[in-house]
Amino acid sequence: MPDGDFVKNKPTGKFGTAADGLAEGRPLTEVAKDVADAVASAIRKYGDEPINLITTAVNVIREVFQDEHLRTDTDWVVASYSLDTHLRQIWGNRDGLELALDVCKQAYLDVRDGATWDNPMLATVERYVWRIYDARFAESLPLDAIYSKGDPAYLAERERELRPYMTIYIVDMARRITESGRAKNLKNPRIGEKKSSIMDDLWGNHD
Amino acid sequence: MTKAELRNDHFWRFDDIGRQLTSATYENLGHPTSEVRVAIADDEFTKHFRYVHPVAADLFDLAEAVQLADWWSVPSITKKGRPRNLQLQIPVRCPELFNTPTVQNLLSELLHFQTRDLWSFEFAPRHGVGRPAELNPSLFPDEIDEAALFSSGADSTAGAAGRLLAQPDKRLLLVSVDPNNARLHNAQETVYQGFQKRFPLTKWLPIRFARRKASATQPVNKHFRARGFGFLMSGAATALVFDKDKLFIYEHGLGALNLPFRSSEIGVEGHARGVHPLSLLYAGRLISALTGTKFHFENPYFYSTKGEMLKYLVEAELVNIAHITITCDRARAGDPQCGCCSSCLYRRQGMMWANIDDFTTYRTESLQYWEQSRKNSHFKHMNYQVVKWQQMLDSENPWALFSRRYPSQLNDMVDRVCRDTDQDPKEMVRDVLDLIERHTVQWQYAEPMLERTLGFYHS
Repeated sequence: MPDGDFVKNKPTGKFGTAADGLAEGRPLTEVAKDVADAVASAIRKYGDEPINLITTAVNVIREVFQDEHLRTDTDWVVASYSLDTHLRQIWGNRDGLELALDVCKQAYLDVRDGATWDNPMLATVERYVWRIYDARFAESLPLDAIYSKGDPAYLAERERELRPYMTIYIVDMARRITESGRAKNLKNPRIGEKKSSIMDDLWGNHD
Repeated sequence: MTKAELRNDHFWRFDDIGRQLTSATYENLGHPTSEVRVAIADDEFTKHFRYVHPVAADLFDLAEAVQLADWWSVPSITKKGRPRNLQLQIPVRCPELFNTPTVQNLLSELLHFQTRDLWSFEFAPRHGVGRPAELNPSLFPDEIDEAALFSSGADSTAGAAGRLLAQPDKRLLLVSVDPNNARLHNAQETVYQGFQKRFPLTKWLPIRFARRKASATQPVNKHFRARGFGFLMSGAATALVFDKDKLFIYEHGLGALNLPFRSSEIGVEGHARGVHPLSLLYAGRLISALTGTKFHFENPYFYSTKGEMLKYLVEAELVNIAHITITCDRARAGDPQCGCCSSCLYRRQGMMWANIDDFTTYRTESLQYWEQSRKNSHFKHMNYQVVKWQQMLDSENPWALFSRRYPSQLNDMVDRVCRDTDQDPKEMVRDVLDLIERHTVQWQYAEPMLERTLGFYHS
């Protein structure tokens, strides 16, 4: 029953600024950095609760990886249902939890179908970060020129070109969240940048 | 700022809900307490010589209380995007049934699925006498064969026509829940009258929820997602009063699923789940737990597209009432339907597929509204969805992609519905994919015409 469906016509906030950069033809390296900062900000806003939900799902997945029989013996319908029940006990950011819930259920489907990962937490958190990127940026880009500084087809093309640049940031953010187990204190990503320090000059460190 | 305010707690305490307006107290800590007045007009049952028994009467009260609480509890989310904690105290006739942990759990499950808020209930014993419809005994009551929700929309009208074409002697009862909205009530009555001329055995039973708030400027929740809950509970209560263990909902499959067009439409804020098959499943469990006997909500058109449903209007020679049905989500008193929201677009596409000349007046046809309509249109989003679906359908294993793109709305649905009804999941997957494929074909057929009509031709 469609009932007041609510759609996004363009990215908002920091994502909107990044989308403007994409439309204006700014270099993809710069746009990727802006989008990565916006994603980090969204992750902080969504808080730790989605990560806790992911941890709950990953605990089930780890058990399966330790005992292969569980892959077929686990009742995945019940496992998915347990996530819904668990969600009803959490008072966290609604969007963040919804995205994390989808990611956890996708991970269950993949494990059921035979997927294996060396680090299931890292793999699942990485998907969570990609999901945020898609929801807040890639699939929020204007579909009509009325909302955009650029042609929507051109924007879509540039977004496809942007993805490889995003990968490095997203992997880095996922790694740092996995290591700390927290999302609230995630710092903005800094990839391939080494701040020059005055001490480097003083000590003759010019490499 | 108090802790409760930070937690976005909303407390509602209702007095006995009667035929005349009674009060309900609303408290959102940190704000002054406000009072609203509510009533339920269920007198129509007396015209059918039916006695509204206590469980059914309680379900009406619950439906009204939940709808009201959802509508007037603002903010609907905190600045940090956290949901509401809604706590309702409702007097009922059967507190011993409603306060059981099973019922409380099923209630919170259904409402969490539909609204993504956290709901808790306290059912107190009711003190006063019931509404007049509860006091009349059932002497020679009207009999029916099927009870169905009726919104006066194109789906519910075409669905009813389809059911009666298959079985013309069926005594169908159309149940409408009307939140004291004269425009909607009149529309329902007009459509029903046109329908009844063709199918005279059909009866209509409107139930009116009356509401008055203290302050006319009080903001309301824009994402009013418990509407579906109110319809399901009121419909179920009516079916129970007529001794039926099933309530029919006529809604085309894609409308019932209401899948997001893009990933940016996150959760229920983007798309309602009022008659999603999982809503129907959870609601069925709730009513079954309350009554102690199995109760079903059934959508016989789940595997039909809108266009396929609308063909029943052609077959039943009811095309003349097609254009007076109301589908629009943004309909305003005195104004035509918008013509560009997702509901209107499904309707227009369906009419094209069913070969019905659409005489509906839409706001998109007015030059005055054209620019605004184009800005607010869902056309591009629906088109995006179809393009995406086509790519997924063309893949080697479409279901692997669909189940992962919509794990909560599609994959869980197949798993849970099949487990509950002993259906073969593979069959259901095949039927769902077939439905999506047919919708894709039908959209592609209508898309150029819609694009031209909506003015996107110039974009």
